[in-house]
Amino acid sequence: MLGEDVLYMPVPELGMRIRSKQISPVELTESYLARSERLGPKLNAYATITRELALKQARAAEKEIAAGKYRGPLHGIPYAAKDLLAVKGHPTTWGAKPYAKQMFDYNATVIERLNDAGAVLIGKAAMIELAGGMNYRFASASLTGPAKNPWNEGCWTCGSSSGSGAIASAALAAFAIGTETWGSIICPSAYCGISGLRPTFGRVSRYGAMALAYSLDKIGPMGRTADDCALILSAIAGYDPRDRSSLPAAEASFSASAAESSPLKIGVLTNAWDKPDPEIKAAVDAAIAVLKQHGAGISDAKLPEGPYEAAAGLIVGVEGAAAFRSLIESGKVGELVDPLGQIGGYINEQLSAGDYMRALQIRGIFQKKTDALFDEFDVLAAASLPIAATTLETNLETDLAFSDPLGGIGNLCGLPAISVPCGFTSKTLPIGIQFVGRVRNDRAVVAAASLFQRNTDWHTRRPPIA
Amino acid sequence: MKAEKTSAPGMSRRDFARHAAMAAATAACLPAELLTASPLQTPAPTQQPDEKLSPESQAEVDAKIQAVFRKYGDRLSEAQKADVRRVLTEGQKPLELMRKFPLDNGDQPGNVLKLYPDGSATRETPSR
Repeated sequence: MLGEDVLYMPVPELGMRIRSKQISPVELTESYLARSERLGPKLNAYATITRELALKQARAAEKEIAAGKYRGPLHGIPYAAKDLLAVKGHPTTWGAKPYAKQMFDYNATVIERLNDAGAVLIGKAAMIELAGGMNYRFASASLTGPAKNPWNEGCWTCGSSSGSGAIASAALAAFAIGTETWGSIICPSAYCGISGLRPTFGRVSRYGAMALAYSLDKIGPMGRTADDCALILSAIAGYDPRDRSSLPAAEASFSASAAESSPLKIGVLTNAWDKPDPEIKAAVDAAIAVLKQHGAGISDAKLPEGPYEAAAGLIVGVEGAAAFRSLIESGKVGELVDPLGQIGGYINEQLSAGDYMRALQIRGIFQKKTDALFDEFDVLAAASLPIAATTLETNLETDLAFSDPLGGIGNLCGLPAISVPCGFTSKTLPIGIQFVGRVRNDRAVVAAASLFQRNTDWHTRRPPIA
Repeated sequence: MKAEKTSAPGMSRRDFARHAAMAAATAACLPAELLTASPLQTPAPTQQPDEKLSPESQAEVDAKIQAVFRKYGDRLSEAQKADVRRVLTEGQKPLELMRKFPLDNGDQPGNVLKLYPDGSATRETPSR
């Protein structure tokens, strides 16, 4: 079995070793599988481990590479996919009891694209039930129990891509695929000390993915580094006529190799969080200093004021109630684990069409206002969250009472964002910094994060799990 | 020329954050949006003193509560009914904040009708 030094390698390094036949895809897959089977249950990280499929794909990759047919840097690389992505012939539970036995007879587009790239699916990552679409109060809101943070098993990974966060953080796979409607990639990436990229809305097809909010859902990579995320995004991005919100081909495709030509202009948000934890603020300030030292132009920036969080919340509520109408009306929503999830659908059904339209109009206004910010800056920067990972028992309603304007406006307007680790608290919990970019400018957020990671080593730290 | 749109007058940053956050409590997918409520076992009073709803707003909330109970009441425990009351009540202020935001006839919604078929697609109906 391969050791941690290999299993924690960034994807390009693994790919290079596979291509040069220093590492066998089968051996790499068996090593991640063994680690996943040993540590996965401890962390509640997986919904399903797809051992047979993984070994079949790994053997096929090995055979192809031996025959000289190398597909690219993801060929033979094991990954996990959030359990809301359809995988033919395997359960896709959406993290929820009412769908515990759900099976699809086709693959989600993201899975197909990763198949085409030669990647190896080793499992379906655990998640918050229905990606939190009916709301939730506790970390335990999942068919598989609360996902535990590899940095401290008494703490949560955050959600809803909870298993994806744990898997990438503990090197149970080389990377994981997550999704975000509002916060579900950025938050687990910050809590778990990994790099997670939320692409521009429409860049990655949602065909075959559970719908929570049709006009907000995004799919993105979670892994070791920003460059890993860019590489994975280049494989999963692209126009798909089966997703009505898919960007046109020329806009949807993404190349990991193109470099930034001029120094980045970074706007540091002064109003992203009301009262960030002092340790978080210090780490983010230090990260900004690193970026400045390495050529980035730094100045203060401010989000516009307005009810965009309320608008985003309302859109999630209305679209979620529509997406899960049959679950709500049948009463099966009562089978959800979380007490708030059991009633959230009933409440969201009461939101009116008039208010929904108003929220969409507000979105239109704030798309323009937000876009104007990027006339001055390539990216906006802020702490990914104002706190570090919370305990598994935390009541999310009562104990996390803070506003999230950057998440609200970023998701409302479909902006790309990335969270990368930038330090630790005194309790050795990861701290994340996020970079948010103009729509379609995913490259800028990757460039900012990559610049930071080329000059720091926070992303190389490993959690104390064994 | 359109007037510049700003947040509701008289709304402090702190108030705005609190109210906006409560709105998201109807739809959260991140703990950051799950806010200001008590555990199900110990339902809190539905309003803080400074957050009293107008009679009209309270009537709207009551109508929504009754609509939930009328349709789904037989499925709900007393504790769940208390939670429904609380969440709907707490969600009203941010809803009203959003409604106060000035909008004009020409403010198109941030969604589009994408024509179908778009010339390159062949429809596939997924099956389970």
